[in-house]
Amino acid sequence: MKILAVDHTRCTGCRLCEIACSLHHDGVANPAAARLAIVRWEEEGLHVPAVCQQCDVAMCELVCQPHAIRRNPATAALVVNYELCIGCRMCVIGCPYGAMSVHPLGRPVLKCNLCDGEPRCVQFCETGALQYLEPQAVSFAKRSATARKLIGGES
Amino acid sequence: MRSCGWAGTILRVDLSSGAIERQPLEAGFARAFLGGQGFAEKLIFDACDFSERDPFSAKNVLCVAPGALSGTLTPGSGRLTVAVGLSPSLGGYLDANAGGGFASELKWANYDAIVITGQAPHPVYLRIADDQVELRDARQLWGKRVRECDHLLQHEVALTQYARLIIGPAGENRVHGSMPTCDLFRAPSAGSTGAVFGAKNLKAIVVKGTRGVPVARPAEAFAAFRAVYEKNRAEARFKRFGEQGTKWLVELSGTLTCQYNMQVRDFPYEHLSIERFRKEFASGSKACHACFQHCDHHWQINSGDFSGEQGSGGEAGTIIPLGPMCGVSDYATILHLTNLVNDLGLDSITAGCAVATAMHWWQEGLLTAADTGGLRLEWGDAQAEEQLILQIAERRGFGAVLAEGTFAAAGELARRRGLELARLTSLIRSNKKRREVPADFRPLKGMAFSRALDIRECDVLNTDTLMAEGNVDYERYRHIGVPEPVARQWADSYICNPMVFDDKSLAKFYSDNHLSVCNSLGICQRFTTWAQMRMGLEDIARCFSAVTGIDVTWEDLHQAGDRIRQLEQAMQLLHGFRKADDYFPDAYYNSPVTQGRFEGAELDRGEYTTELENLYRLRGWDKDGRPTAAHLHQAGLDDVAAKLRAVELLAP
Repeated sequence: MKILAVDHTRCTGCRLCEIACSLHHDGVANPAAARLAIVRWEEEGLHVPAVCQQCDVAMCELVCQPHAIRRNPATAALVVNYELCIGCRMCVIGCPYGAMSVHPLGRPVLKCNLCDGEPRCVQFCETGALQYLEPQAVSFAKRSATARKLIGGES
Repeated sequence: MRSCGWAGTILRVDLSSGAIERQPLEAGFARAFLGGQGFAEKLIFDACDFSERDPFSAKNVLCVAPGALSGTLTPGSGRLTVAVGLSPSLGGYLDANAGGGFASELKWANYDAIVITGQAPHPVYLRIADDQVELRDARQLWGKRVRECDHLLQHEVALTQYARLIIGPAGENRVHGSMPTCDLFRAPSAGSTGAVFGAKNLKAIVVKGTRGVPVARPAEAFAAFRAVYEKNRAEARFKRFGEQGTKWLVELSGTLTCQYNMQVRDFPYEHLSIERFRKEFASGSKACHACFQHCDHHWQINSGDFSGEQGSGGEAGTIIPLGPMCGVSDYATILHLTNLVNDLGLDSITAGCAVATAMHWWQEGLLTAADTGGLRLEWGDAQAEEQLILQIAERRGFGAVLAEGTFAAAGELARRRGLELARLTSLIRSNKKRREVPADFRPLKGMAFSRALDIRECDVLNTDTLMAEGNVDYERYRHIGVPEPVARQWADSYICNPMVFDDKSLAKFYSDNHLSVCNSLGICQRFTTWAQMRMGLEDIARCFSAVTGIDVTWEDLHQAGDRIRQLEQAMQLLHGFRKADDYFPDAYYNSPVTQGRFEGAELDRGEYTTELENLYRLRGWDKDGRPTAAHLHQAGLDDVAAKLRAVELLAP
């Protein structure tokens, strides 16, 4: 079961992920309708992707009274069923990371569904700030860098 | 029904009355002029009073236009055009171009262009949040530098993650070389558009868009993107630009720049090596909208006088004028000065050239402490450079003289000191259109040709490195996306031989059309053929077709590029430019480089004239550069022909 892994130090702020996401889901290039967001501090040169973590204990799922948010067993993604969604936006409030948002024009709430296992944002990330990895690979790069430092090499 | 790709609305703002109007975008207009540069040109042409010679008149037209494909998935489609009907420094129409995120944000707010006329009664800024458009009081922002102004705006605009164009003191003070700074670090640098903002009392434009841009055929757009992505990523040059930006060119161009006196000198270019920048200053890569090449860097200074200072940017076109041309070789100092000019809203090339020229005058004894209020302008004195830059932006001391541009300053000095004007102007490096040229291109014929002709210089959409490439064969042309019949024609030519003048007119003809297409669609040149990357006109046509749903071929785009150049030439003529202005100053011709790697290289005036007249012929103009009615009719520009005919500027 792969995980959407974020390394914000590699993010250049190009926002192709946001455009690819909205275009794939809605047919419109519109970051405001993307299921993830790049939070940007222009002056400090910082760009931090804010993406859904598909939490094991998911607040969005827990607060949803009509049970419109369910886990897809194939991807482990929590997916909004818009047929059941009543647009109360409690999930948006409940998410501790701000990873869910309100759609500016169409659907009531926006949530990443990992594109059914082929996340478009990752396909458009040239630097690897976003990757779709097996769990054991998520921290391997950092681990080996740390290990190299410990034995006195260049990280 | 909404169009795809285009937003469908042109926004018109009259600052005198405060009236804000929305005009529907006409399909025919959109197809003919594409967007960005093309839109700005036509909108300004239609609204411009060519008899008005005061660039600070309320009549002057300002236009901000994103590309037709800005805000979509098209690779590198984040370019913005900022244009004025009458440029204060160049005396004609001018469009400048910037990267960053403003162009896409404006498209997501659903505007294809903003046309600004009039003059506000007091400082204002334009706030755009989708369909809410308002002019707000900016009196509390006036006088502030760009970053401080941005901090104050953040407290009051009530928008998140918006894009902005902000002028600094240089624009407010109507200084030669002023510009609005885009997202703090990006520069639509050419032509002193900042001064027009200043004269109009327009401090800033902030925009937030949440409407987005519909794409006609998303699957095709994804495929077109992917094709360019795979091709470009496989190139060695991609990796180089991605890691090093244009900063790797600094050391390389050491053979072309010097202490501004047209001779190569000993300068420690190794101090400005890209390796050193990456090791000591770079903190990460940065990209404009929709760009996977990320050639910009964020950087931080970690020791010395400027320790703790951080910023972005620092293209070769910034580092060279602020550094080597003024004899300054300390990297940290040059980065500090980069921040300073961005914050003052001053173009680095213009500012660097002004300081370098003044230093040269000083060195020749044409300028003394009596003229500069005691400021000693010795080569390599970075503190003097910083002082002079501040003086220029704030119109103080000798800076007040330079704030009118180097030619005006030369005139003033000649008058004050009884000097021969030609002695002073001979030390200014610019083309006849008075656009500063921050390098000596005599050795490279193609680049020299284009630098002499260009009304705009040195943004990444005006590179023409292909003309300095050396021997390129048919396979290589095809590799970098030159369409088949064109590649065949080029393979039998000297287009890419930088040492001879032959066929440079052909090169210029194709590259100008190509660049106009890029400028109008909002695509960064750095992805494309002329920067030796692999996104050719055929790829661009695929992207355009997928996004707009209007199927076009590369020939259609090539012709649109020609149409845009015809219009540009018409406006140049209407503003009084003639064939004589399509040259370098006399000193450039038939005077060989006397030292260094290119010793003996020179520009032959006869050869130059031959190529110039060839270029006119390729454009369908007469020997004096005047368009013909027939060619303009073919391009669908009868209204342009009529305007030229009325003032007898049409070819007989």
